[in-house]
Amino acid sequence: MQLIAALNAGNESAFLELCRAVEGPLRGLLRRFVSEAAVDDVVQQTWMRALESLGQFQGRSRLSTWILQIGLNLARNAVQREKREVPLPEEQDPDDGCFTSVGNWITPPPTWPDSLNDPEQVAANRELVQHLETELRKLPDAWRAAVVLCDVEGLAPREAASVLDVEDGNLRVLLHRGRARLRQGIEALLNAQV
Amino acid sequence: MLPTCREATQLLDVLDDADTSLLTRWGARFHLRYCDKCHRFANQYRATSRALRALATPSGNSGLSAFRAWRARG
Repeated sequence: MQLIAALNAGNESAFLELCRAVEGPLRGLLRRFVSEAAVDDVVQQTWMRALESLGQFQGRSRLSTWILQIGLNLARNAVQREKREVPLPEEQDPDDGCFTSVGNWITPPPTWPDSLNDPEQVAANRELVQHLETELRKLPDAWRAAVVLCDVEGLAPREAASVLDVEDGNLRVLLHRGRARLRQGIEALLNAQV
Repeated sequence: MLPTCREATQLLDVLDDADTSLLTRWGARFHLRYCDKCHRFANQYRATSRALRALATPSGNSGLSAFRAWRARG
C-alpha cells in the first residue's frame, strides 16, 4: 500500500519501479493475444485503466497481478473486436494418443540432443526459438496464457493462477497441457530435421 | 499401487507439491526413477519449460507517458 500512496502522490520513481516489474510480463502476455501492431495500444490502455482504477485496488492480490488481469481482459476484448477466429476450447491432453488404455506408452519419446538441456544453446538456436514462438501462438488461449506467464515470463504459479482467476490445480492442468503440446512441437521440429 | 506411465507423466508438476499426498508423490518419483521412457519424457518436459525462457520479453517503461498524463489530470 506504500506503493499505492507513492503513485497517488505522483512519484515517478515508484511508477518506474512498478513498470520494471510489470511491463515485461504484460507485453509478453499481450504479444501472444493481440496483433503485434496493437500491443503498444493495449499496453497504454492497461496502464491508463490501472491508474484510473487505482482507488478500486483492494490489495487482495499483488498490484502487479491486478494490472496483468486488467491487461488480459483488455486483450480478450481487443481479440473479440478484431473478430479473430477463436479456437474451440481444447480439453484433451495432448499426450492422450501416446498411451494405451491401461496407461502404457505406445510411442515413447525419442531421445533429444543434449544441447536442448542447455539454456544458452537453446537461446542461440534461432530456428528452435522461432518454432517455439509459432507453436506457442497455436495453443488454446488458456494454455497459452498459463505457459506465457509461468514459463516465458517467470511468474510464480500462484501469481499466474491469480491473473487467470483459476485455482492452483487448474493452472497446473493448463500448464501441463501447454508444455506437453510444446514438447511435441519440439519433437516434430527434430523429426523434420532428420 | 504405483502409477502407470500415463499417470506418472501427469504427476510431474506435483512432485514437490505439499498439497499432493506423500504416497502419490513417492509413487511418481519411484516410477520416474526406474522407467526409462518416463524419465526421458520428464527430462524433455522440463527442458521444454526451460527453453521457453528464451522467449521472455524485456522489461520497459512505456507506461511512463500514461502515468504522466494521469498525474497531470490530477
